[in-house]
Amino acid sequence: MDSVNAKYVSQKISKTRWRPVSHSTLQQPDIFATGSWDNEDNKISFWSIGESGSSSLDDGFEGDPQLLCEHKHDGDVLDLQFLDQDKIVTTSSTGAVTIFRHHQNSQTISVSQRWPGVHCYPCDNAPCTGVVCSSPEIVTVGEDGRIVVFRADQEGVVRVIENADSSTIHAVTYLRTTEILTVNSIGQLKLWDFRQQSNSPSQILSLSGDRVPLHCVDRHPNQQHIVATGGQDGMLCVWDIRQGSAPFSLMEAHSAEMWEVHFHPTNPDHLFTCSEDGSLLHWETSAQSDMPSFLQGGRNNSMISRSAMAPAGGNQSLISAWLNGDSSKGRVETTHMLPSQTLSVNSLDVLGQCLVCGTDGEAIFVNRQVPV
Amino acid sequence: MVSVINTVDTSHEDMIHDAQMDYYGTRLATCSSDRTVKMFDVRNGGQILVADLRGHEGPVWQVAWAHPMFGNILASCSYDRKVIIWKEENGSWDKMHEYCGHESSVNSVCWGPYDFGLILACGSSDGAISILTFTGDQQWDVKKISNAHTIGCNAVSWAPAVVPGSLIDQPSGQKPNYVKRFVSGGCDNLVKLWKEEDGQWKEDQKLEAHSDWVRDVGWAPSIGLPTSTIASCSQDGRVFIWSCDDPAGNTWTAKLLHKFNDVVWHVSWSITGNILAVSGGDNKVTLWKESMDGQWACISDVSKGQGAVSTITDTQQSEQ
Amino acid sequence: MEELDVEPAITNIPAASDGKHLGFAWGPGDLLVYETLYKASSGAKGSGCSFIHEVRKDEDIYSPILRKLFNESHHIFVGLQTIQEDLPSKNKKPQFVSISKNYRSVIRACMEELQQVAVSTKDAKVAMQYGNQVSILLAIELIWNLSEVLFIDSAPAGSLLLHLLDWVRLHKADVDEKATEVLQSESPAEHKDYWDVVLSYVMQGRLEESRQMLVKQATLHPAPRSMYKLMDTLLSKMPFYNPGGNQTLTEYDVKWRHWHEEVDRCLQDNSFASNKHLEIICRILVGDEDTLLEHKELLGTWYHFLVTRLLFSHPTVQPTELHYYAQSCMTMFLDSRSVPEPLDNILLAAFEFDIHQVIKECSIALNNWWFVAHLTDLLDHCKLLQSHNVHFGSNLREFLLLEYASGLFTHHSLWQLAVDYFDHCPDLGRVYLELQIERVPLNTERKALKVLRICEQRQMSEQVRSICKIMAMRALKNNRLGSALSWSIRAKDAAFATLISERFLQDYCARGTFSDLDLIDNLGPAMLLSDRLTFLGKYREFHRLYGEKRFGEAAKLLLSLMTAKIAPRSFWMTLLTDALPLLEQKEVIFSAGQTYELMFCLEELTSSLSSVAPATDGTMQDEDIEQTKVELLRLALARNLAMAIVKEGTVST
Repeated sequence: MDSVNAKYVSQKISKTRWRPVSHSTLQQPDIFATGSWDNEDNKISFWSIGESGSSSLDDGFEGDPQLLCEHKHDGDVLDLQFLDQDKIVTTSSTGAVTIFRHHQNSQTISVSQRWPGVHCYPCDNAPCTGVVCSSPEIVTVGEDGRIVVFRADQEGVVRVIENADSSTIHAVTYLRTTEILTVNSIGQLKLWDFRQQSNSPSQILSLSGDRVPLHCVDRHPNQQHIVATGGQDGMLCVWDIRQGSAPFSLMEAHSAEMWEVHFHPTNPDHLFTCSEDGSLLHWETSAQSDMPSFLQGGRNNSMISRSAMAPAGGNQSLISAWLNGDSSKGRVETTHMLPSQTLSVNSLDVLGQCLVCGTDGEAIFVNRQVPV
Repeated sequence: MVSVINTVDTSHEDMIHDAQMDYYGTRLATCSSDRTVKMFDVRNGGQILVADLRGHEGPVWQVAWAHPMFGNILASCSYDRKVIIWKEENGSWDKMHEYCGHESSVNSVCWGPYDFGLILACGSSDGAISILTFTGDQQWDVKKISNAHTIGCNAVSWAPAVVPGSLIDQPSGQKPNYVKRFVSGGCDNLVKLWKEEDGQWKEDQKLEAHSDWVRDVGWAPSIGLPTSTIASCSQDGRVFIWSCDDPAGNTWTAKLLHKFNDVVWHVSWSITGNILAVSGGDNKVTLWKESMDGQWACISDVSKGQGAVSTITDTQQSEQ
Repeated sequence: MEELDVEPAITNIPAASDGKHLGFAWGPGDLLVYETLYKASSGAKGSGCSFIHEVRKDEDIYSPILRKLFNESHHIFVGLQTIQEDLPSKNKKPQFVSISKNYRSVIRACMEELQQVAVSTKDAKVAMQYGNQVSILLAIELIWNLSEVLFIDSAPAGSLLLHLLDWVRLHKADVDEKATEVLQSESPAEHKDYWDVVLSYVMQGRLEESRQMLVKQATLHPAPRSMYKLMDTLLSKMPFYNPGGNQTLTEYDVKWRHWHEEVDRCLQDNSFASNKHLEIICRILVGDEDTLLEHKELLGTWYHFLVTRLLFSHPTVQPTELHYYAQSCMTMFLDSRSVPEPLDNILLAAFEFDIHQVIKECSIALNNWWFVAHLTDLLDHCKLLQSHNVHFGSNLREFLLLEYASGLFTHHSLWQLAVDYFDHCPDLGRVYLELQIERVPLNTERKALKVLRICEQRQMSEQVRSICKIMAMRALKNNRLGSALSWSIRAKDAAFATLISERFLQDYCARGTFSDLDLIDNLGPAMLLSDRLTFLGKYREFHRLYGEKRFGEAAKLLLSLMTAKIAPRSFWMTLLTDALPLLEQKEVIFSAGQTYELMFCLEELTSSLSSVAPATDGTMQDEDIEQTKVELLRLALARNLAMAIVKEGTVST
């Protein structure tokens, strides 16, 4: 990718996230947030990549992202999610969960809400490793094995599942509005149903016997039973939540921890992963001739089910390319998106044609022409 | 550039005798003639008092942090003849063990390499050295070397855990056959090396070069070579570097680092053993480095007193 | 070593009272210094000073802007290390030159940013600090650029001068600022700096630009037009060597001499006698040293003088002749009173091709390991340290890289960069890494995993074990038994795994249920790490089988736990009690053989218990309960044996 430029920012980046764009427009994202780690003073920062529309005229020239504003963050930023257009939720190594508000008129940041030490041990705070939100609900997980539920509009904590996990929970995502998925340090994928009052998972899926820690999880944007995870061994796992307790397919991806995996939100044939080994991969399921329906459907993002058997309103029966995907059969193609790099790529986010990632080499990379 | 980046006010009410950073450089332990041991969180340039440990009945000479794999453990030794081992449990620091086996002031404490478990050597003015080993279940096994140094032992320092005479990797899974060794210095002008054989401590070597009391000894970290290196300093103003590249550990040669004009009190190696810091009666800390051709040179000099003078001059100037 | 044979740097610690000592201790990176009195007898009361000072060696590392330099150059450094060793050196040279240029462009970018910040800041102290850093980087870039021309590119005669001209032009860019100012004025030709600009252009060999400037003067004074025309011709005709062309150096030399004679003739003819400015230009063109020296302030430095002098008197200078001209130019330029500064000595050493001296002087003067480490590494890759008889050769490279990387390692964030530098120090890099990596504070598991990855990639099993043990201990301290067990499994620490298994079993005995089932049920082969852990896993499996009503399998497993001596003796009574409900099922679960074995286990247990000294009165009640249990068991076993014999007898017949 020639159109990727490093911007050195004097802080190791732990998280990068695009500010969401409204669904109605075909607008490309132009603002992203980053969080830093391992610094004496950590920060969250907002960056602008300028008018993306005009950049294409510059013949591949990409302007540097410009810093809009930044705010001190207590402890390492371990996770970061946009709650809405101008609010972000961060989780910290100090166990705190904070909502920051980005004032776009004045380009300032303020703390709008903070829950200190919600993740904790009997005598100490525990790092809060992950957050997922669906405004106004916020769910966090931590090294203390807890799952905590908040609402952005309420001061207190809504629900705590103590001992949800005997080991560290590394990441969390929504499966459906009332269900979440967590991954932990002994290779398990757990499904939690918030409609039930029980403090145990409704389903546990795991890699057979190896106990390889899982670090990230993402759900297919359209087919909610398809879930991708990445683990310590750098393998990409695709799971079908409906079937069995073992992963559907395992694909060799990275030579070290996979820190994040993301389906493209609107072109889920494309998937992106980044790793401690310093690489960022773009995965594409090249649908074969035996499944042209999916090819068309997926490409145009108009997932019209052609199967007569399909339940009304759903597209569950449509065979996903990912579940057929098998690297050995060459149906999945991968491309390296960064020039050779040695230090970890900790985070990535992709929206529209734009991709942003941050590294331990204290650099941010933005690509505005992701071929999706 | 060498510069002062942070100053911690310990609020000790009397002379500070020792200060030690923990394994990660995030916590500072200090001890003083005011009989207390204090602990500060110094992360990010801060200084938060986390513990004020009272238990000694005399000036506390030295503190030593155990390896973090054993939890948060600190040893202190005092003029009151006691050695106290402190442990953090449920967020607060308490006595884990109190050792009262010496008949005079305990001058030095030093934890052994973690490969040997929790093991502490203590040197006392009664001339003896005690070796305390944690055996689990709140039990400490004591081995005592009586009359290790006539008149008194001033310093002890452990050898790094290396397999004697072999650089070849041990077969995986098999516990390497480490030999426990440490060095001590005392009022008999001697530097002595001790070795454990069949569970008993034996004098291994007696190194003679100093002409007055040996004040401090420091065994350098192993840098993968078969050479062992020890620094010793004495009231005679001399600092010696002892080295031995004989796998059996029998032949030690001394090289004079420097002859100072005053007593040399303290020597200490940096983590990688590439710099030796020396402090003496001349109110200075000097940093020494060995060159590639084996010569020792002073690379930096941390001195006291001048700062105060220049501050005064500055004020006078600004008043004019 | 020679790098260090200078007066040591002195750092003063603010401390007031005399007659006290200075105590110290090493932090992982910094030195702690405090006032003390060594071994004063307990009676000696001196009011102590309660301050402890942290002294740091390498403050540059903490500059946020220099951090970009460290990060970006790390990337270049790693790239350089991977250049194929087996490539013929001829093919490698362009690569080395381009790497050198990359390093320099990073320095330049960093310098520009520092400059901006220095200008924009309101804090005078900060501005000065940044200003100082800028001047250090300027010097670094100047030296690096010259080293690139002389050592890395090793330009031959002809090209050499062209490169030196570029070098001077790049570092004497104030001409362009002045020129812009002059050109933007109302009447450039009458501007006070007009002639300075023209002369500067000429002295940098930028003849085209000087001609354009001269045109302005010529139009202003139509009278001596011919004189300007003549000068213009001279300037335009001056030949420059074209390394890419087909002209040989000798041909060029002939052409140049021809031109030089022509200029000289004009001077002899007094062609420019009526215009002092043109006369000066003409004198410069013939390489008149006195004229050049009269314009010291325009040249600025002796090395500019050197290059200008070479341009107009020895354009085909050989690399080997450089040192002679450099020395003489420096002597001529600096008046007798001024002492050469460190930078002068460094550049002079470079002109003398004394690489060792360059590195040595730089180490002393610049107080910056970044530069010497990277430059020396690059020169070593170019195989220049050996060919120039540098003492210690690769050792020097490693020595400097270790210094630089050790400095990085003390930084809370940049320590990750240091790892790659240590990797490329074949002698001591690994040991340095081993000694320092364990001291990285681990405030989160994610950080611990990053550190572990570094260790595992390098097969540093000792460090892996130690870090996992630290994490296990920490998890245990925080009451996270599951995490603690996971970490001790990763550390392959059997003793610790046993300890935690005991805790799990204690918890089970106390509560009657297992905690952390998600972990215990999924131990897999990790269970074999310690006997106690195996027992924990198997015992839990027994409970699961029992819960699933797979009684036969459960019974077999339970028995094997005792007969294979997996269960600790202290747990046997619990196991036998667990057998009770199985013995009392309607159908026979334990076979006759199995029942015999159970009975044997019970007898072994009771006999070993009774051999122990009789209990004191306090435990009489407990003993009664035990006794009842044993009786119940004996009864159940006997009954089961009877049933089993009957059943087995029935089947066999």
